[in-house]
Amino acid sequence: MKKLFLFLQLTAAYISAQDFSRFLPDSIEGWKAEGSAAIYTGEELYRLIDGGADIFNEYGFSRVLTRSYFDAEDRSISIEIYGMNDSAAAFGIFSLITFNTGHPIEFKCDAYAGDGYLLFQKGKYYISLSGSESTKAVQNALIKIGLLIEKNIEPAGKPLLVRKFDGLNYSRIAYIKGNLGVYNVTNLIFGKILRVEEGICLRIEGGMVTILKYNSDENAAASFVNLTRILQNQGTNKIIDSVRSSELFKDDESKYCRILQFLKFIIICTASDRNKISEITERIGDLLKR
Amino acid sequence: MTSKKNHSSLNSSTQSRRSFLKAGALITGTIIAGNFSGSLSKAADFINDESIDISVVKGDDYYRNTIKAVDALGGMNRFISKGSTAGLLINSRYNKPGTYVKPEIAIAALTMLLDAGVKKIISLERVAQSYWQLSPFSKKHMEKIKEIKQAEENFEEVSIKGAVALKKAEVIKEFLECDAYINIPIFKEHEGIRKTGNLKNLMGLTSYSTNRFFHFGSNASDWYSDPAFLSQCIADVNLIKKPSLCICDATEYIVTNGPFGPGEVVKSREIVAGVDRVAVDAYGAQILGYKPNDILPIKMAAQHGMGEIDLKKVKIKEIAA
Repeated sequence: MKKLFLFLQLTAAYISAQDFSRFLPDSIEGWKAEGSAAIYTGEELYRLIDGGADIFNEYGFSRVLTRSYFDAEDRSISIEIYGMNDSAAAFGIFSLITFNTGHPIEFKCDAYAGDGYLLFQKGKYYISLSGSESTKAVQNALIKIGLLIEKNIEPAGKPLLVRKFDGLNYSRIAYIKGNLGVYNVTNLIFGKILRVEEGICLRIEGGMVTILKYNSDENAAASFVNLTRILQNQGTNKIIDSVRSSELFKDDESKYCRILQFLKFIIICTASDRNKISEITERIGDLLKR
Repeated sequence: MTSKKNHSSLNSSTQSRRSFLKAGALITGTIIAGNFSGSLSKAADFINDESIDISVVKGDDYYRNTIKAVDALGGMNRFISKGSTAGLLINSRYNKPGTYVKPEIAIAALTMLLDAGVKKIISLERVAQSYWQLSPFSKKHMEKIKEIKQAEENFEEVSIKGAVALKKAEVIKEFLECDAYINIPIFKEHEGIRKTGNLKNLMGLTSYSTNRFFHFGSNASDWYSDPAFLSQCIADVNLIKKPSLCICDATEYIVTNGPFGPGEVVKSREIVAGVDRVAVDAYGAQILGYKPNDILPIKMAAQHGMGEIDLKKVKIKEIAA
């Protein structure tokens, strides 16, 4: 019985690997692969991206398929297809990486491009394509190849916490699944903070909003005390308004930062316009109540 | 595979000629930092090129500019003896634009080493074949690339004399055994410590358990929640052995999403070379828009006395491409 179970597991893994490899055939759009596709699973991710592996694991990494392609002029394109545990994990890592880089482009799903690369996410996959150069020819090839990969992937919805902000006007959003994500997207918190369950960072006009969700109201309250202490200890910030569970700071460059606790959530809003902060924190409070 | 050995003596193994030249350079640099920079700078150039602490070459031909940068410091023969075993530490792990050392720069270093008559060249950190394929330029130099031997992933435990946080570390055996090593990092943004360069590049030579100690040795809850401890470990591991030369890629580098990218790429098109890893990293910090003292590993390495963090005391020469 044990042997049969092992056989079925191995067969499933083999079929699954075959299924995964179909995303990257031997040639695409005139670009030819050299060597076979490589799959890294679990801890093997450290061999591929070492210092970058931890954040993938925080979201929930399953495996990655990689392959390099060359054209007649020896230009190369490297493709990485990250299979994450679920679509929330895939959206999370994609949103985190694109929070500070690239520009949104017209594509079949959410996609960003920059000098010599294209990034997109669909279903439980995050896909990265990068070229050896950033010429228009390579950039066009990235998009053509990206579209061929995209059409083989089933779509899936975004995390619930992300959907709560659908009506809000923001330019970028990052979905966070742990503290490493918080350190990655915000310079505001650079110290030891309590472990967050999930969170959101939003770029808004003239500022930024960070929403951290804890596993209980008590932990959110403890985090509120901790975060306000970090800001006070920075020396460049002054408290200019303080009510229960809400403090407004002003730094020496006349920028404002409001930290407030709302049930399991901490909301941190920074902007140079004090009224904007009041307006946005109120709106976010309303959206979180839903 | 590990064995205990104290390698604290490795730091004193630098050539006496070089120490003498370095001392001379520091004196010159200190004077230049004063009000007489114009005339004394010319005088220093007249004495010899080896008085330069950092050479910078800006332009599009990364291969030639690397050679120019090293020549400006006195040429590769100044740093590596004929018949010696040379280690190369190339930051080659990632493949997104602005995240890896341009293969042209590594090939230039390789060419100079071969011309200098070294007996053996070892890549201290594994360099994949796919790295060389990132540039069509590599194809013409495959014969040279084949000369590079890959270090085995055998680690040796060493005690680190003078360390504050990292008292012992497991490092690649060939790193300890090579006669000299050339550090070839890329300056780029790095999560947790803001910027990577020569000092951080040494983490490519330590075992996974040692790297975990860098991150969690202070009982930190997260990989980057104790940047001060991590930075101290980085400074400490650099006590094991000095590089003979640092050749740094500041041609195209990411300023967001480091170290793996992709991120926003800035193209400065600069090759930076020097012997003093602290000074060279301080220069790199400035390129990325930081004050050298704001980058903790640089500050802590300077506190160890590994080099000069104050760029006013460093003689930097920009060379026309």
